[in-house]
Amino acid sequence: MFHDPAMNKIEDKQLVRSIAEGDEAAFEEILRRYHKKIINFIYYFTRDANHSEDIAQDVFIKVWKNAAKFKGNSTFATWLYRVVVNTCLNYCRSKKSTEKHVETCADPESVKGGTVSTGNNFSSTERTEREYLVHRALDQLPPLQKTTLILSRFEGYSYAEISELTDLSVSAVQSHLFRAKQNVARFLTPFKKKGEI
Amino acid sequence: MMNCKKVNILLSMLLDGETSAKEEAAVNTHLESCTQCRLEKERLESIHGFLAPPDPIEPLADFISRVKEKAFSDSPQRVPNLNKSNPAPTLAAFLDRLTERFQLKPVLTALACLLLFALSFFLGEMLGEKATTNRQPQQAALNKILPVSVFADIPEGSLASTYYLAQKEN
Repeated sequence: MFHDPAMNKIEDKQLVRSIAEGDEAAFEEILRRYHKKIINFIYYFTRDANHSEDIAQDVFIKVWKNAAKFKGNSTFATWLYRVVVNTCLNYCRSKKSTEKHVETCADPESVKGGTVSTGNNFSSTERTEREYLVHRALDQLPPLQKTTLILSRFEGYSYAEISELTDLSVSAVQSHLFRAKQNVARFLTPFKKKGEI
Repeated sequence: MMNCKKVNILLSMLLDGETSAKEEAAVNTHLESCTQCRLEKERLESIHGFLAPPDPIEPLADFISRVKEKAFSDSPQRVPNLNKSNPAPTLAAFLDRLTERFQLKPVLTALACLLLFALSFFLGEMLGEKATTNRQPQQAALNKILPVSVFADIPEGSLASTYYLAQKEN
């Protein structure tokens, strides 16, 4: 796929305006810039590796269809993450309603734990189980706590960057993150006492 | 001396690398004398360890082309703007840019409400005046027919004067 380096210099807002006018090259550029981050965010949020790309596809199609609705009052990334989170929440709700035995959005079979990452002393199986518990803990969180925790711990954004992406104040981000960690700790404590983690 | 509630929040920020040097020093000073907060720090550190990011997903190579194919086939044909350097200006686009730039929407709404109120007021005044003016000729005509201002002016022999006399006798 040929990529025109000149597209790198164009700002997101300008690209979105072009997409609203039907510019396919602008849409491709937005895809190129954001698809990896969005797919991984969806994976972290839903814990469903099998469907993350499908959900991401839905998100970008919404961008293509609704680009004219983006008025530029916030950054494009803020608008995009709002679409992503709403799409993820809808997916999790529909999954819970169609598959009654699934307690949470995290399905142990769809959690990727087969590869070994550096700096982690757990075995592959232990990591899968541990990750499954962490993902279940994340699933208990309200959407804002979950979103800020993923953006902070998994994607490495600073509080200021999270504030911009989520349209929250920095102090609200601090508060949501603090409560998220408290809730995760509370959820994991019984498993720690049993020695499962 | 910081309270533990404040320190707990700062501990969370400290582990995220979001505290200033001053805040970090204040937290460390507090931890020297507070066992509860030291335990809380250990708990948070353990959570941070568990919340290490999982291995990222590498999207399939054809993801972008698949999305483009689906997006362009699903949507109705859009006419791309070929004249990008000098797009044809439209009144709607111009007004949109103006209102967006100068945040005119609330001002315009307020002006519209004021205009509506003023219009209603003047319309009401005009209609009221017309009604009063219309009534005047009727009153003048009535006065010609029957210039009665007091009961004493009721014409003699009329039904009204008969009634008046009967009332006077009672």
